[in-house]
Amino acid sequence: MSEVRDDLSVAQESLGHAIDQARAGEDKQLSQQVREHGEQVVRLLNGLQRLTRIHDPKNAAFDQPIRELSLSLKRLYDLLGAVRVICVEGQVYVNDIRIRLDEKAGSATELTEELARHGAGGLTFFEPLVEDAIRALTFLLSAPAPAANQRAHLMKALADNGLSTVAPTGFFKLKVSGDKEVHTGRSLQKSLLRASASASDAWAQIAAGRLPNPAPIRRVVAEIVDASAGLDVIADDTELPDEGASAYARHCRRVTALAVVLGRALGLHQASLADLGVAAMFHDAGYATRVDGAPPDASGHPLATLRVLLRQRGFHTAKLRRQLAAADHHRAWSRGASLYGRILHICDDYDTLTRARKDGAMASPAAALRRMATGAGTEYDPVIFQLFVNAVGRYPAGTFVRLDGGQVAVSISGGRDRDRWALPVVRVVQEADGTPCADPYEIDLAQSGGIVGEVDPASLTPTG
Amino acid sequence: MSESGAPVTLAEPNDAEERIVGHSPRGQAGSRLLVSLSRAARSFLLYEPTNEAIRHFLEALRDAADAYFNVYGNLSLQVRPFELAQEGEVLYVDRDRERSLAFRLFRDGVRQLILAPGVNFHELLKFLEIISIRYTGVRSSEDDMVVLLWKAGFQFIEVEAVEGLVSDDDAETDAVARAHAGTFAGVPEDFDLPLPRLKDGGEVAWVDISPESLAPVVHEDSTAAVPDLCVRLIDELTLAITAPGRNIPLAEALPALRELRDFLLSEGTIHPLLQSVRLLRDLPVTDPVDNDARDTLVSSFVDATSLARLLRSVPRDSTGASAEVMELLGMLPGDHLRTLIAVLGMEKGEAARRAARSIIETYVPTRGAWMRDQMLTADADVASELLRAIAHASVEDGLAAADQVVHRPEMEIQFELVHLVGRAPISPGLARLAGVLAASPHDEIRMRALELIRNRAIQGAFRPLVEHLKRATIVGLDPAEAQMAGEAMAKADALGAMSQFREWCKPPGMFSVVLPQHVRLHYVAVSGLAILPGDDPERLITAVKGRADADLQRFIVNAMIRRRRLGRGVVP
Repeated sequence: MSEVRDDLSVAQESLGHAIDQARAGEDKQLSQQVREHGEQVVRLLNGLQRLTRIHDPKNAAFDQPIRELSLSLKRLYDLLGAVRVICVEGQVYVNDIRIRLDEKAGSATELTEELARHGAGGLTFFEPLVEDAIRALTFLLSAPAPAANQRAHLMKALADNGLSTVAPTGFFKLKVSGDKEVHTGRSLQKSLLRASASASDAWAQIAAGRLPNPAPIRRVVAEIVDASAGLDVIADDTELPDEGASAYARHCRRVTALAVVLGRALGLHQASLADLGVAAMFHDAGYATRVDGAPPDASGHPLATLRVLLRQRGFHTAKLRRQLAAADHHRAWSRGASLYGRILHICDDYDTLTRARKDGAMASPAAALRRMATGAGTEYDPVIFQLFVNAVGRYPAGTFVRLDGGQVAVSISGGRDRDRWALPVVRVVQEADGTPCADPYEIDLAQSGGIVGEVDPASLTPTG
Repeated sequence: MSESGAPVTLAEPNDAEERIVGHSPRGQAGSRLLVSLSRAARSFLLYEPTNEAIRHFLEALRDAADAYFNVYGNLSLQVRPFELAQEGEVLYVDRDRERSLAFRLFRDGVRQLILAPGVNFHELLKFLEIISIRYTGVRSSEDDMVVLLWKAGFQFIEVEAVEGLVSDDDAETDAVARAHAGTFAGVPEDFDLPLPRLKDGGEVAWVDISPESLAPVVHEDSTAAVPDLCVRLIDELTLAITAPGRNIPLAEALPALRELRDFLLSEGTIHPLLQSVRLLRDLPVTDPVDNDARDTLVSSFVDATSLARLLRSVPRDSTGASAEVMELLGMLPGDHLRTLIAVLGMEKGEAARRAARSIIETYVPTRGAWMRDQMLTADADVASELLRAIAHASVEDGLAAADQVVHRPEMEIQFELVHLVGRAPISPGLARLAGVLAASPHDEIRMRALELIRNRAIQGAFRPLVEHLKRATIVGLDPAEAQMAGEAMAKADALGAMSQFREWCKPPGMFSVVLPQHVRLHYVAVSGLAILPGDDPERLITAVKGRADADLQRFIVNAMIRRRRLGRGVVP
């Protein structure tokens, strides 16, 4: 380590610089308020439990702490939306922000033990609570728990007392990087489903005028990035059962999945992929806002999204790239746009062309790709677009094709590699004689068979 | 030890508990490394990054790391709430939550830490940086310690960390969450239309993308591209602020603009700063409140720290500030002279100081008097830089400024004054200054002043010099200085000097006592006489020699040799 012996001043400067930058990235407003109110919520929950051991439920000693708890919950709710209090390893997290509790208060342990009696590891408050509701909650938590099914019992008791907006959660544990999950298509699909739910939740928060909170979105995107390594995320997304998410939320999820694929094809580092994914999830957030009661139109939504994202405080390069992408993801390549903006432009338009609509998609995936190819070099960055073409293949997932054996099949893979780019894995949905497949089967066309042309899915016999 | 070799006294954090533990030599060496790491990380709470104390902590860390890895190899640590242990041996223990390295790591989700022998100081510093950020209490809404460690991409540091919270019963929790989650369905089905105009008939094919084609794209994702992205966002925001119809009010964009400014200032790269200031300066706003807000923002694009950083980036061989820095300052309202003076007070690098000075010089014609006033009370290094800047801009102004500080005893100031005496045209003011410096408390300054009086034959300095020598010889006078003083007198005023030497060399009366100062004056006189022309000087020297002690006699012999070399004392 002697090579830098005379370079300590450079090290000093660099360390000072890093600390300065970290300070600039701090979202003081959010974390401080969450900490303050979160700490108060935990202390008051504990304090109220202690009071139940001394006083009758009607005692006036409860009034003040109940009032304060109601106020703190309201403040947290205004800030964050649903308030999630989680106890794990002797610590308490409120919406992922760890709450500092001093040792003498013993608050974390107390709350953990109290909840554990009911088989719960945390509480989620989906709405603020009025004072009577808090009084009821206090006595439900202090009541004896049954020998079995404690959490179900508590949930029922809460519902019976009109407290269905309070949910006891299961036990949580900290996931350590050593505990690698085996990623399967199933876990990827699960993450993708969670993504549309998270998107929907995020838009609801934004519509309510709350700060955009990247933390839950980042977590679900990190799951997608992790789970999609080596898997075909586009195909998985195409295959996803529609769980009733809005078109808007599904669009955000699909653009995110496509962006992760494209970012990976570009060779972006894992951390950048996550930043890109978060940018994709937020790229249309402006649609959740209203001016004079109306959402912005297509031309106004980039600015509306930027305006939403400006509300998050603290400098961070991820936020910077996200804001730029929000502003320029519909800008033609020839007019200059940021990297994330150029990536999202391609993914966004591809999904717009291919996504399911009431009267059918505007184009099949393969046709959408060909149509977009006319914009490469003007509308789209030609290098990034070519990577996209390589990644999704000649017959992107979701394209219906007729095989050389006469069967009709749907593509369920991306481009894979140069040799297999036009030979996807397909799932046969109609036999050569026109009968629908009762039990669809897969063929890897790189192994056998070929494609004679595309098929309009509307022309197929319904499978019933 | 400090650079000067003196021990550094540090306000050490309370070390009551944090101490070297471990029962084996390996454990103790590891413990030493961990305690050094903890102290270095905490030091940023107490000191400015450039403080000498930080350097001391970094040195200690580096030495401890060398000592461990050169002998023992891996440092593999289990992270417990208040302890760090290797193979069951506790190497670090501190139960103070605010101070404990173990607690910080544990609380931030780190559970195992392996430092491999290949770890270099650079990687160790990166690790220290991440810990230090956590010690300073910074919390980002985007990155926690685990993300930072993940992003750092260490080669020889392996971290096993908590990645997040996972529920034991996902399905149930998800179902409850879904039932209550906010839903948003307020967007029309065709929200994303119309599409950009695209033609039919395109064709697609697989095409290999060369690494060369990808390189510029990937560069955009690098940290090096971030300052340009900041400028791009400022551009977007200025467009958004002025967009017709649904624009973004300036007040809403201001927090982001300030964040971008702070980042660019902390980066200290001039181009993006210039571009940003241009964009914001030209932002058309009509509302008086917005107008004030914009002007305040623009003027806040420079402060002493950021300016120092900008000036630090000038090349070492640069003679001044770049045209871009000058342009930046020219665009920004505010009193930059004060900022520049503050830079001189904090910046130690010579190139940056030179650059700051070169800008300060441009203020001399208009703010010279104010600068002279500042010199009275400024720190010595700042006052000396101001003097240098003023004198470089105008020697006359420099002499006027010198009057303000001529009696300040600090070495830096006196050195600058001497420098001025060496290059200013001879004038009564300069002579007065030279005379004062010849009586400086600093040996080097006196010698240099005497040398200048001699070399430049500064006549006006003769009388003050004589008066000084009369006083100085009472206390003592080094023979080398005596020689220089005598020669200075002879060159400054040959006639006056001859007369003075004659008086000093007069034999004592029968009842007079020869005091030590008289002897010292003989040294001065002999030195001066040795370079004066004619026979009289030599006769006087010979007369003194007859009464001299052994030391003075040797001195006189050397003086005579010099006189012979000069051609029998002819003044050249």
